[in-house]
Amino acid sequence: MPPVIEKEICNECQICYTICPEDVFCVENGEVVIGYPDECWHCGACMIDCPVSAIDLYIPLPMRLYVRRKEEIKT
Amino acid sequence: MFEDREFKSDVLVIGGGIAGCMAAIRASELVNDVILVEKCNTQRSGCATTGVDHVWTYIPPIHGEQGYTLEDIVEDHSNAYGGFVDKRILRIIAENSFGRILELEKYGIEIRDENGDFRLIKKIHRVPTFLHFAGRDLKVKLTKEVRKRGVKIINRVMATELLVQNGKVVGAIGVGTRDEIFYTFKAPSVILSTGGAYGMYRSPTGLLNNMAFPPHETGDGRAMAYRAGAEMVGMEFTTYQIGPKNFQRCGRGSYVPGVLVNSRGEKITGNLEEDLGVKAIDSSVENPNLFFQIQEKGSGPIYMDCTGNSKEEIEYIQWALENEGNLALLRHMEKSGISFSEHLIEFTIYEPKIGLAKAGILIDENCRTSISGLYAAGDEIGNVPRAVSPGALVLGHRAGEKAALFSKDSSIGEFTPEIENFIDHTRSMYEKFLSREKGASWTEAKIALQNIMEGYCGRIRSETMLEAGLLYLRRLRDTAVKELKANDPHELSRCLGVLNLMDCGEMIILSALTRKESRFALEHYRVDYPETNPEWDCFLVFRKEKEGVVFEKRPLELYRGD
Ligand SMILES: Cc1cc2nc3c(=O)[nH]c(=O)nc-3n(C[C@H](O)[C@H](O)[C@H](O)COP(=O)(O)OP(=O)(O)OC[C@H]3O[C@@H](n4cnc5c(N)ncnc54)[C@H](O)[C@@H]3O)c2cc1C
Ligand code: SF4
Ligand code: SF4
Repeated sequence: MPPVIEKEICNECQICYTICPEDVFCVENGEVVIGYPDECWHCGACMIDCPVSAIDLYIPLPMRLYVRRKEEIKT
Repeated sequence: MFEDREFKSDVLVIGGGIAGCMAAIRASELVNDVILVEKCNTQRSGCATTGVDHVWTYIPPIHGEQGYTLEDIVEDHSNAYGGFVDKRILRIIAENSFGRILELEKYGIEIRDENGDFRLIKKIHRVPTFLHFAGRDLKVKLTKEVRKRGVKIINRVMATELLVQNGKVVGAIGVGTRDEIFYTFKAPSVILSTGGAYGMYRSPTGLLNNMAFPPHETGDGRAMAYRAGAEMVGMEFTTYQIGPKNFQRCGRGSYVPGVLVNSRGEKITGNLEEDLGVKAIDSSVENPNLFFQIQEKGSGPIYMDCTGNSKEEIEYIQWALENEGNLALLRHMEKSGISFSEHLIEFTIYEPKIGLAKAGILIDENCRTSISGLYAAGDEIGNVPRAVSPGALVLGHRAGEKAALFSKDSSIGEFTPEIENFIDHTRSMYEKFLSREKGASWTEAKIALQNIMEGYCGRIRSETMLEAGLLYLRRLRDTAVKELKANDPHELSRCLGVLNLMDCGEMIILSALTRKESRFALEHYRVDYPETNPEWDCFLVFRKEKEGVVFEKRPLELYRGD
């Protein structure tokens, strides 16, 4: 579930923990962990503010867009 | 066990969104001690967490030149919302929004394009009044300005109750959302700016927080004001929003100049116009009912079609979307190989909500509520629909000014024993939530609430169903108070948020029962009173008294100011 932290890149600055509006992150033994994955709002604030771009959002299946190509539309 | 903390200030601002930050900025210019309490972190909280990209405004040298007057924008805006608008306040927003925008520019927010011009598009008003700007980091920059002025920001604290003694506000209480701390705030004036009430109805995807509006906004200001006896207005009108299906995000305005098409690829927006080099959207798409009508005609689904747009136009759409908090959506598109030039994106109507300054606290031109010393601004209020960011900027600033001036002339003494008792009682209720061995989770309570709101107060309303819904909802709330269990302060704030949503639900059902007519298509449809009745051309105002909730019809003329 969202968000996903790439631990090799993360420098433990805790910015994501500081700013997340839904309080999704927690700090355990000095390490940032995803405490409440189901509460992510997909606002993207953590992605924007992470200084080393260590965060990516996993998009759950029911959230994926429904799209069609132009040629798939019967006009 | 709670640790206790007490604070005293000249002005207390509850909610550090756009309105709350503006209020704190202005108040701090007039009084010494301003406290801003915020449930999250003001840098990235509220609707504008990751940006707003447009603000409607009246720019005298531009709009005046087009022969469009300030009164024209007031008229257009009021007409777009069926006259259910407090024109006195709307006029103040229209008059002052440009000034506030120029202040944002001073705070380092990029308002103009690279040539120094304003990007203006046409939406609900007759001429292009929607100013597109690079607002992604608006909240970060506003927070800097608030801090610069010496305001004490207390983040991660949820205000939970107002303290009112002898008809006058004297402060508020709250809890830490990360630490077991119980806060008491003392102040002669309090500004409510907590945004909207989101999550009473289920997200159609079934995911708890997949909502276009912030899940952390649980109608706290409305519920606190209601419980304290303040006048509320228009809660029967639950509003809808359209946007990409599944990935629920705001940003309909950002897809200009894309068009909505039906399943045969036929445009359903109509009336596209060329204005200042940018195409406009017909305001009919602002009426989400169109979505149901088209599906009922058998020509759904509906798609956002940008395939006919040029590369520059698509870049513009992406720029606007990124500035309106849609970076995650854009990343998802990129990773899934979805492009605006090749794909049509299905759009839909989202679940109903209460917010955006339609349905909420009733304020006057000076942002005063009906309780002395209590002010409200932004999405919190109910008498200026779609005041949105210009409303938050202007009224936030104004509430800060008026509250500070009020505080200059007033003082508060000790709390009365009644207030002390109320604080103790509330504190021990919260402690029970935290100490229960076992109990119901806040998510269970939220789902139970959604079941009632959808089942008994959804798109089709009737007296019998609303009455049943009210009964079930009140029982649910009582049970929730007895059974909710919070494992930590985070969950405690969630539990208290759901209880506030339940109070908002009660306000909706009571108002929907009282307004015996139908109005604004989906917003309030009574199957037992299917017509719009001119006798109900009025605001429905109510307040909680000891004996119960008292309703009053207020003629719209009272709010015209002419
Ligand atoms: C994604 C998105 C994009 C939008 N884009 C635009 C746009 O481009 N143009 C436009 O005009 N409008 C836009 N809107 C609407 C606009 O952002 C809002 O109308 C505006 O932010 C309202 O300001 P506000 O201060 O009233 O509320 P918000 O900015 O929502 O702030 C409310 C604040 O109160 C805090 N709070 C809530 N409860 C409590 C509590 N109990 N204790 C302490 N703090 C609390 C919240 O955490 C939040 O920080 C958009 C909305 C969304 C969701
Ligand atoms: S996307 Fe938003 S809500 Fe989700 S974890 Fe990041 S900051 Fe928090
Ligand atoms: S902001 Fe980025 S670097 Fe900092 S703790 Fe979070 S993931 Fe790690």
